[in-house]
Parts: sequence; structure tokens; C-alpha cells
Amino acid sequence: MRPVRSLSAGSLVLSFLVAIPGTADAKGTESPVIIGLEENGVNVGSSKWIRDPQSGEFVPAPPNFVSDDPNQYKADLQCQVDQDSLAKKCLPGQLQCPPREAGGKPGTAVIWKVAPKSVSNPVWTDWTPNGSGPSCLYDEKPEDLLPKIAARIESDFRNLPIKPAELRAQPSPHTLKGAETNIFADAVEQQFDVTILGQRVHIVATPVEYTYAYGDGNSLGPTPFAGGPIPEEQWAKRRERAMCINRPVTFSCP
Amino acid sequence: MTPRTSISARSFIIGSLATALTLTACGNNTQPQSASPTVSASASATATPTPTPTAAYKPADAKGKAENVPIPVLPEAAKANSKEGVEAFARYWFQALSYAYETGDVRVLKQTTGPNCVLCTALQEAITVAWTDGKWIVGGRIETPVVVGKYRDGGGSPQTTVQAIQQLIEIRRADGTLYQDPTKASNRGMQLVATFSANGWTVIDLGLIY
Repeated sequence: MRPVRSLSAGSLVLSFLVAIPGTADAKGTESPVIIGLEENGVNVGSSKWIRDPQSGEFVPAPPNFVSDDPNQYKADLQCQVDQDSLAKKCLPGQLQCPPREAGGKPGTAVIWKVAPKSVSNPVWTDWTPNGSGPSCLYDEKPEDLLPKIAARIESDFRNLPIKPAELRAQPSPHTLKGAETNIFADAVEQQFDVTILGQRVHIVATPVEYTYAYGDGNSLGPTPFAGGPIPEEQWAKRRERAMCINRPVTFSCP
Repeated sequence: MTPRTSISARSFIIGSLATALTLTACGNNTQPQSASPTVSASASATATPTPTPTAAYKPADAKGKAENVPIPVLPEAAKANSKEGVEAFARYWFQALSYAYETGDVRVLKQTTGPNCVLCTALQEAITVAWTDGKWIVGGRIETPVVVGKYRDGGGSPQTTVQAIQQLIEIRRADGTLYQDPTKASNRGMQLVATFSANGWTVIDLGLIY
């Protein structure tokens, strides 16, 4: 067990208000209903499964598991009916993909398909993130493009003007010596539209974990919890239970 | 009185902010078309004793509820305590879930669902809420083209991996207007855990595969 130390300015308590997914308000007939099968699976805190790389079997995911994209994607030619033939009737109405710059190569009209990675020989369905329908792909081998984009996306992402989380404290801007202080991160989802390898890519940046550095060499995290504001009448109360889940060495736990 | 000392919020910095990326669109989307999945309805592979419909099935639309939706019947194959049995049961269970979406009737689903399955309970509640006050669901039908059971003799509760493809879902108010934005169609791998008893198979857990 690590020795409990205290900060020179007094003890601080972090608050971690864990949001409980709201069930539908029985009285509020106009409150939205989370109705989809997948949507409920994401929202209700049900079991999550991953493929165990060693055994190849599906096992429950560990508690702090951050999900990867569960899907695989491919681009089918817009008018393709099977591997070898095209639907001739479809061709006249096919999406036109002229070159994007003078002297450039024209694109190919494709329909993106999606299927879960976890299923062998899955059935593919149309991928419809924002509306649907065919799109133009400007690459000779469409199937090679997505991995290329995926490889580029992390480095390109680091150059995006992402607004960092802001640190909030209650009370603020000053706290009293010996008094409890609620510290939390204020981070928001941010969206960007960028062009990678000639393809327009929409990126949604979602904060998933937080690390708090206290300036005295101590830190907390990474933790999935940002914490959150609490009503003023509760400022003086310690929120020990939540805090001790993360066992920060700087703070005393009961 | 001024505070004798203070801890300024400035002395805390947020070290890192890890970020999840979602790649959500590529290329031009210039020709909108229907967002329904391309999978068509298919009958269960095994000989399912489907009741003879007295009137034609009609899916729900903006004007009204689905009509003459066939009630799923537990196939004989789904009563066996075997790999094939649990696979047939998983197909049946998703048919019962699909039936609940289309009719608002969760009773068939409840009969083979354990009380501790968090996702199963949430789905039953959501469907019930979506069907209150004269509302109905358009779409939401579920197909399970791939079902693979993992069964070991005497080896605990078998798990079944299911590809569940669900159509786009609209909730319509009694006057036919949209209650909320439609929920997109989905295509997802799911893990179903079932247990076998004298009463047959019961779902004890269900979750998404990541």
C-alpha cells in the first residue's frame, strides 16, 4: 500500500460524477426513445465482447476497454451485380465522376458496404453514414484506399486544431485551504472535415480518457471519467467513494 | 476576510486527452437514395412450423401498423440441447425480437428471456415505450444471416455469435407524424449466451461484439 500524503495546501477531492444512461422518462411522452438494437447495446451498459487474440474465441471485454471500430468496409462498383458482370441498365444513370483537377484521372462510382468484423462470411449492407447512395472514388484500386486513409489518419489527426479540454474547479477561481475542491475536465466532441488522399473525410473526435497532472509530480489517470460540476451546496462534501475507485496516491481514502 | 492561501486552478493541467477517431464519410454523396439495408427477408433454414397466415402480411408504413405479422413459433430443432439446438434457438429469439419491434408485443420474447439480461430488458422496455399512446414502429425488422454456436458437452452456457441486421426504424405518432428522427439501419455482430433447462433454452446475456 502506498503512503498517504497530502498536498501542502490541504487535501483535495476529485469528483467523478458517472453519468447513468437515462431510461425513458415514463411521464415525458415526448422524450426520445433509444430504440435501435445496436443503439441499445451501446447505451445500456450491457456486456461487451471482443475476440481473444490467443484463443480466437469471444470473451467479455475488460472494464476499461475502449472500442475499436467493429466494422469492415469495402467499395463495390455502383452498377456491379456480381463479381463478373455489370448491370447495363444501371450504367446510364450512374454517378459521374469527372477528374477533380485538369489532367487528373476520373473517379469510379462506388457504393460503400459495411459488415461486422466479428462475423465470418458476413452479409454486407450499404454503408449510410450521412445519407447514402453512390460516391466517387479517385483511386485505381478502391479497395486499397481505406487502409491507406486509415494509416494516414492518425498523423493527419495530430495536426488538426483540436481544442484541448478546459480544467474547471469548484469553487473557482480560488479554493480555500483545507476545503474540498471539485476538479473536472470540460471537453467536448469536435468534428472536422478534411481531405486525405483526395477523399473527403469527416472526423469526429470524442474525448475518451483524461489524465490529471497536479503540478507536484503526482497525477491521476488515465481515467475514463471527466468528472463534472456539482451543486454548490455539495461543494463541501467529499465524494470519497467515487474517488477511491481510482485510488490516487495523493488523497486519503477511508 | 481574504482566504489565507489558495490553490489556483491554474496549478492543475490536463496532461493528455486521448481521442477516439471515427471515420464517417468518404467521397461525394450526391445521389441520395433509400437508406434501408439491402437484405431481404428469408425464411429460416430449418423446417419451421409457420402458422398458415389467414391474411397477407403487410409491413408498417407512415399510414399504419404492420398487419398479420406471423407469430414466431419455436422450431423443434431449437428444443435440443446441442450446437444445432442453440443455433436454431438464437435464430428464433431474434425472430421474436423482430416480432416485438413490428407489433409492440413483447410476450413471445419474454418467454425465452432471462431477467438478468440487461440488453434484453432494455430492448423490451424501449419497444414498449415506442408503442405507447397509439404510436407504432415502421421498420426495425431483424435478419440473422449468420448464426454460429459454440457448444461443448457439459461445458456451461453456450455462446452464439449472431450477425444481426436491423432495418431503419421510425416511430410514428397516432397521427402518423414522426415521433423522433429515424434510427439508422445497423449491421452488427452480437454474442448471445443461453442456458438450457427442463423448459428449454433461455437467453441469459446479450451484448455487442467490438
